Amino acid sequence: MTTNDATTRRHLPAAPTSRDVAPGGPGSPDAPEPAAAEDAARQDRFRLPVGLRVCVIVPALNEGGSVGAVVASVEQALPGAQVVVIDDGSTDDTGVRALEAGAAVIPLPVNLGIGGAVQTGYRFAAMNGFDVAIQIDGDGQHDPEETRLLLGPLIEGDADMTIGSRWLGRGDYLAPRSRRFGMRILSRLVTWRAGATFTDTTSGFRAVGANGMALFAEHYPVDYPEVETIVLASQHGLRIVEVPVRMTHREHGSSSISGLGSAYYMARVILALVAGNTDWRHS
Amino acid sequence: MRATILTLTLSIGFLLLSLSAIRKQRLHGKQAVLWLFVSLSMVFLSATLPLHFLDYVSHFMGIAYPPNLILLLGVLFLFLLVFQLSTTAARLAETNTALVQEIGLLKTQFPVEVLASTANSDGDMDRSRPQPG
Repeated sequence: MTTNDATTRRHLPAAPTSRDVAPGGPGSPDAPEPAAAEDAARQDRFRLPVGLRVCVIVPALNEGGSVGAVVASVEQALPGAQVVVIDDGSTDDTGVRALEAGAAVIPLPVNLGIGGAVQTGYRFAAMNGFDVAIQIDGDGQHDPEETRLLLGPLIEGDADMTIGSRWLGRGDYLAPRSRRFGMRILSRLVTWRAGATFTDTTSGFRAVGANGMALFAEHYPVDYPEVETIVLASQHGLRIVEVPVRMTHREHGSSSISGLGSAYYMARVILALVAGNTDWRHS
Repeated sequence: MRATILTLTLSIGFLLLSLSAIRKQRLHGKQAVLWLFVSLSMVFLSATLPLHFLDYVSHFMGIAYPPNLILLLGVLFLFLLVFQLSTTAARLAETNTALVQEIGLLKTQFPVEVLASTANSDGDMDRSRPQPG
C-alpha cells in the first residue's frame, strides 16, 4: 500500500475500499466473509495517520454514570488517541470510571467550571506535544464517531480549528425556539467580531492543531467559553472551519443554562463579545 | 473642645490598631502604607479641629457645610478601596485557577495497564484512585 493510499483513506473513514479490509486480505484462508469484512472495515479500520498524536479532552463533572461509555466509544472511534478526562472536582466516582475505561484522568482538587476544566486539557495536550486536541462533552451529546470529521480539515492543513456544527444539515437536532433565537443573535455578534460567519457558536465539539492548543493553554475564558473562544482564535489568526455533525439530546442531566440563567448567559457572552477586546486584553 | 478630644481619642485608637496590625504582619506592603496614611490623616484632622483647618479647606472647595467634605472623602475612599479589592479578587481567582490546573496536571493518573507497562513496580490499583477531597 502506498503512502498516498493511506492519505486518502484517513479522510474517508466511512467508505473504506476493499484494499483496506482485514488482516490477511480476501485471498487468505481465514479471511472473513466479504460482506462481514466490509462491515468490520467500516467499524474498525479507521487509523490515525502514522505519527499524528491526538488528544481527546473530555471535561466531566459527576458523570460517573456515562463517562465510561463516552471514553470507550472515543477509543473505538479513534484508536490510538489519548483520551484525557478532566475530573472537575466530582463528588462521585467519575475519576475511577474514566480510569477503568482506559482514559488518563486529571483530578482537579476543586471545581473550576467548564472553561477552567477544558483549558486544563489544552494545557495537558500542549505540554505533552500532541498535534491535535479534540474537545468533546462527557454527557453523550456529541457522537465520538464524528471526531473523525473534525480531524479532516486539520490533517489536510485547511484549518487550525474545526467546530462541529449541528446546523449544517446533518442530524435532526432541534432546540427550543427561544434557544435558537439566542443562538442566532450570538451568531450575528460573532460574525461581526470575528469577521466570518459561524452557524453554531455555542458548540462545544471542537478540534485544534498545535497553534490553537498553545493559544488556549495560555488564554481561555473562565465562564461560558464557547462563543468567546471563536473570536479569540480568529483574532489570533487561526483559520476556523465548521464541520457538519449530528448532535443528540443529552442522555443524562440537563443543560447548565436554562430559565433566568439564559438571560444571564446572553448578557455575559454579549458583554464579552462587545466590550472584551480580546486583542489587547489577552496580550 | 470635647469634640476634639473625642475624635482625637478615636483616631489615635485607630492609629494604634493599624500599627499593631503592621507589627503582627497582618498588613503588608501597600496595605500597610494605605492604613497608616488613613489613620494619620484622621489624627491630623482631629488635632486641627480647634484651628478650623477643615473649615478653611471646605470653604476653599466651595462646600458650605464642612462635615460634607469628610463624608465625600470617606465615600470616595471606600469606593476606590472596594474597586481595588474587586480587581485584586479577580486577579487572585485567575492565579487560583492556574494553580488548581497545575495541581491537577501534576496528579494526572494513567490507567493501570499503562502503569504496569512502564515497569513501574508501584503501579497498583490504589495509587491510581483519585484522591478524595
